[in-house]
Amino acid sequence: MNVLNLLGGAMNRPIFHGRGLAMALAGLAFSTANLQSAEAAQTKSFVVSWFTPAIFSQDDDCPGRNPSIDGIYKHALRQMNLEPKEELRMFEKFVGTTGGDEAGEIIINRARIDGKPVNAYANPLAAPDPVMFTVTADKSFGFNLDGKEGPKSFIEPQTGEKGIDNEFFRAMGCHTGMRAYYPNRPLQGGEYQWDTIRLTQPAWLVTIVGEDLTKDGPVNVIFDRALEATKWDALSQTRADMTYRIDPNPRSHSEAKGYLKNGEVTTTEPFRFNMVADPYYVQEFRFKDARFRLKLLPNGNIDGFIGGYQPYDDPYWGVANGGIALECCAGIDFIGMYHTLKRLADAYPDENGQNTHISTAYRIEGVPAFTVQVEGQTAEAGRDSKTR
Amino acid sequence: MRILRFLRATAFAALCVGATANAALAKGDDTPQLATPPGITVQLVGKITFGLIIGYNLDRNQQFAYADAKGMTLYTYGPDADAPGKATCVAACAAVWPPAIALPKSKPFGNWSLVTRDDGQKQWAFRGKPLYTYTKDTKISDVNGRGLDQGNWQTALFDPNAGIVFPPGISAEEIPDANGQVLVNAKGMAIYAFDGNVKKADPACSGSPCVSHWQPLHAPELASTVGDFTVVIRNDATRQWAYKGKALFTFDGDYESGYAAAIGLDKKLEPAVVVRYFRPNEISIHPTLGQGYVLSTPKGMTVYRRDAYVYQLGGHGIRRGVPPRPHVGRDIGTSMSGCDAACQSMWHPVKADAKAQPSGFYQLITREDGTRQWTYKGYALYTYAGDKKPGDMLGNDIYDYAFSRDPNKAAERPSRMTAAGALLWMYAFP
Repeated sequence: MNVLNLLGGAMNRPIFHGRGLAMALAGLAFSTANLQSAEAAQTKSFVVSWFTPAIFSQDDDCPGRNPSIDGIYKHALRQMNLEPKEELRMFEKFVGTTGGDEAGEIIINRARIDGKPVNAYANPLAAPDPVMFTVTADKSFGFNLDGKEGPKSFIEPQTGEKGIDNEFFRAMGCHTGMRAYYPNRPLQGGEYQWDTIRLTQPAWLVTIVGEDLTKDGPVNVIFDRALEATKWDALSQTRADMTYRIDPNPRSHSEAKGYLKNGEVTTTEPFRFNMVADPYYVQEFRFKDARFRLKLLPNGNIDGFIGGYQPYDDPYWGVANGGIALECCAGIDFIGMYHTLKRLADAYPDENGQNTHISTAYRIEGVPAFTVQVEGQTAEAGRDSKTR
Repeated sequence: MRILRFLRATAFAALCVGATANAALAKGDDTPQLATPPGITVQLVGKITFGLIIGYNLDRNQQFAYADAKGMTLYTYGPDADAPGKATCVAACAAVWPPAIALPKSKPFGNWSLVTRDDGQKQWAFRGKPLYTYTKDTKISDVNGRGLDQGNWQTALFDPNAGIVFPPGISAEEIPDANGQVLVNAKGMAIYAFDGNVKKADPACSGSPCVSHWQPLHAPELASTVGDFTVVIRNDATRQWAYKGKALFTFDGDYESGYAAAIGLDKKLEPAVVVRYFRPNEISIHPTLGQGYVLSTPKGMTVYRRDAYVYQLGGHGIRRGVPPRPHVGRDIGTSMSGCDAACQSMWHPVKADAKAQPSGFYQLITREDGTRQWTYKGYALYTYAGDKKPGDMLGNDIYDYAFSRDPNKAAERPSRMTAAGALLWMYAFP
């Protein structure tokens, strides 16, 4: 019997604990029969408090800034060969946020198939590529996913590592809504998405398991989704030391091998990262060849990065499902975004040679939590959403 | 005149209701009445608006109304009140307002009675009011007949608790997990009926020392019998409400109206259902991790609906986070758009037997192969082959994006989507 099973009682079968581990072990110290198994592994669990695109904006990192929404839409109208006078007339009556007027309808249906207007968000490649500015600087957060140092690769600003692959940052980093001077977080993906869904989304959990987490050595890192939403404190911050039940659904379960050194855990082998999210952000994060590095902070929190190759459809759909209502607020030309993501995608080519995945990295932060595993659903491989 | 009509109709209805209720009591049958007979469904009616973002909005003015087996709205006719037990819309009138003819062998019960028409056909009446459809309604949710003929034609609104007399502080509300209308207290919390004798085995005092999660629903000192509600004198001389002879309790684990957290906790304490909703033999409900009760097969395998993505600011993952939109479900029908052969092999329709009849929120849809599939609140129902045991929900949250990656081929998707939408699979909840 696992020593922590003794804590179970009516709560089914707890296996991992965060800060409470020491207390738990102290409480069980009398049980010498179980001490041997208690020594086998130490765990620390966390609930993810922030998960936002890893953005490293600098001055002069772009050849230009992509236009704000009026510029985007005027450009879109111009691409449809509207006369400047007509363009001006439309914008004088443009409602702005949800279309519903003449200009809005034209903007929504700015794609063409067989010469007929069609919904651009549903048919992004049928609309002209507005050719967005992309990042030209040489620094980016992320990981060397392909093991190569190519001419396009970035240099990691914190570690100095070369060969960093983060074409998602290159694609998105010149949009105002996606810019952030570290440690700030970008609006898009941050304030607009994560900060909205974390109120109601089942919490995300990270568990680090090692022989002795006070010393350097190999560890396992497990990512799960909870059955409960994140719990908050009075300051609207993610509350520490709360208990979450682990959802046994395998679509939100990933395991990775890592190494703890000087208070930082890094991956030792690429892994597959899967996590279902609220579709208001990205419906499902699914990285191939994933890597991470997580700092164990003195205050007990974790802060770091996770990256991998992500289907470029996923971040596109994550914004385009809001259509013009989100496009206007995000200040990102979604059609330009899709063209750019497709052009910069750098892995997993399809039968036509078009890469289906784009290298990316996200910033991940967490606070200590208790986690409980429950008996429930069948834990076998689920099916991914069919996008590729 | 109208008041007179109303009084006559009400008196007749009361007679009918009283008669059937008495008959039920005489047989000792305390099973709650069904909300609808076979062939009578319940539909959300009224104007459906189509937003620019998601394409589907629910109009706040929409209401639930009774409808026929095809889902067409039912109406009552004012002049029928002057002729209790008869339907006065005949001949040319009936050509425009076809009567809601009952299925063969239908029997009256509760609020539902049968009116014999001149041609011998049996027509359904609700609380004594014969029901009709309107030929100018062409689709489910239409209410084109509402208010016509100087207001004589009115929509037959869903009113499952009509005729039930409640003591002050007690009413009934829909608790989906209990599949019907359940007694609730003044705070809207579920009330449970105790199948036992409180003087011998009181659930409110079942421990030693006397500690319980069950609170007696106390009756005032001067309370006396109200309809099916009686007063029980407890061992401690306090008075407690009982419904149809069963002492009533609340549960201290209930925090939110619309839920009954103690379902299944104690076989002798079940939600006090006053009107139950129809549920087909092929459907049950089953508890799950995190999402409460969901529709299931009788063996407990989760039942799913195929839905269109709704643009909302989070909340998709919480319990009942995406309410059903019946018109969206009907639009999707049995479409497998975006779900390839491998995907389709995983989803199995919940089929109805040959004799099945629609009722309440359940309707039938005929598939291409001629078989019939159950729908619930507009959505066709499926099971997922990836689920291996009761409570599994591995098919939940599977998305098929509805945007095109081909510059020359438009995206296949429901016509009302106006952004880059998706069709998804999600569990169906009661």
